[in-house]
Amino acid sequence: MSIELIKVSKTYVTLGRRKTVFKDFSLTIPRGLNLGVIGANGTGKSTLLSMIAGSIHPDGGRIKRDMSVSWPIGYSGGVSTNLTGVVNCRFLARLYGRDPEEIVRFVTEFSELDDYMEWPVKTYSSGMRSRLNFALSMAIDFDCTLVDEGMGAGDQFFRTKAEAAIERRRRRSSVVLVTHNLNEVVRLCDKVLVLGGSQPELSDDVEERVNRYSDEMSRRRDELDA
Amino acid sequence: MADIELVRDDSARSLADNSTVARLGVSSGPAVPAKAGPFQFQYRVLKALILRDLASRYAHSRMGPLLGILLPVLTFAVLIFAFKLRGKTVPSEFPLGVFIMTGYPLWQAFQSTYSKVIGAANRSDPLLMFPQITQLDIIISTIILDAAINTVVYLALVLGVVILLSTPLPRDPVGVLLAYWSCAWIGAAFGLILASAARLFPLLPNLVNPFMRFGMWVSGVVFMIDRLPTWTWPYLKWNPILHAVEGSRELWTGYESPIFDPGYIISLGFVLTTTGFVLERLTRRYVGP
Repeated sequence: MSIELIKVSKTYVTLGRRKTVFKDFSLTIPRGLNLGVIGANGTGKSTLLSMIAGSIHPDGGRIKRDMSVSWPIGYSGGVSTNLTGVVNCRFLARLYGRDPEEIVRFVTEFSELDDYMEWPVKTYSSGMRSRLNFALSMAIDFDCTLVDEGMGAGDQFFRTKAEAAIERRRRRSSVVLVTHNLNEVVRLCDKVLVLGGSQPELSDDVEERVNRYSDEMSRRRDELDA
Repeated sequence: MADIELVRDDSARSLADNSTVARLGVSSGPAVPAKAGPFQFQYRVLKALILRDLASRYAHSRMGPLLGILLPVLTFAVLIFAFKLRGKTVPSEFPLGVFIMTGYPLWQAFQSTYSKVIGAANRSDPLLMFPQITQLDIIISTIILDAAINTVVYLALVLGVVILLSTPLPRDPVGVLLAYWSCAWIGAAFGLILASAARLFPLLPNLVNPFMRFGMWVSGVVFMIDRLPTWTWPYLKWNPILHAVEGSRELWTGYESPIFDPGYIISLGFVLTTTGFVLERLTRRYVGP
């Protein structure tokens, strides 16, 4: 079981200017691999995640998936703020063919939103929304879980709980983690993909590559300061 | 030198020990179900989208569904009043209730479906982040929900007109309903073509909108074709909504329309729908969340 990106290309055209983020890029993510993706803003991290999820189509190449893939965790867009937490849960359950009440129960318990689940999401504080989003993301098990900066949700207690949940996923399936938190990459990932150079660079030695990336970033910042 | 301290610690791993997980109340979510067949999968996605859209439309107020009926009723009350004042274009032997019910609602079915499709396709919908939802799913679910709501409202209006204006019942009710739905179908297909083309040329719907406003005046909403000079017929006959309007009048009362051609509506509908689906497929890669 794996996800295979075969010679994938993606170019954006904005205000008449073309920006190629991937050109003939190939990558295989077997089940069980935990992959960290790092790079500066605009280098294509979220695009890569969306292409793996299937919500963005590449301009060229193919993506083969023979495992179930989540939507990027940490992304709140799918939640309608006009609807209550419960209605949002039911939508997700119907989408994935699950028992709605089972999902409502799980999300209520995980997010600890209790009575607020009956309130429209627009009345929630940002912390409560983060908890709902994360709990929804955890409500369904996938072979491959995509995480887009989604582990900083809520207060310290909830963050610990979120990390524990991700860790469980990491042990049982694959996690593709897009983050600027390099400690998380070192701690959670078996391989790291660095975007932003002439070609994406995949490395097995996570700690060494992350250290080098961190040095490069510091050097670049020093140059800018100078 | 890096100023981020990198520490490989195992705290998260230890948190995931069963005892810790149990203490924090972290349970694993239900497993993803076995893969559904393509039709079951599509049904599931559309059902979820329709129920979500329905909840969103009427989430603001309990009066929402009632207003959905009341507003068209008010519109028709105004129309009837206006036609009673200036009813010269309606032949005296033709019931006013039928004339109105076979005109404006059909144009409205076309126009509202077209607008809804353009609206659904125009917004960069956050729902596209779910891998199984495509923009075509959002468009199709919008069309189904809109057609269902509009049909309920139309039937309520027909009933109201029949009771309040002593209008005769349709001779062929199914035919009248089919004529109504054909307008929604043409609107949906036309909308799909324009929405797909707009992925490459975003200003296209704005260019078409002025023609849409003009369209109502050449669709039989305010006239009957047999009251117009015959030299105008060849110019007006290209309009499928006019065919549907004339057809609806023929099927309701038995009036013989000089132009009604159901074959034209059906063949044009199929051509527009096929073109819409092909264009949608070709331009799909320009869509993103």
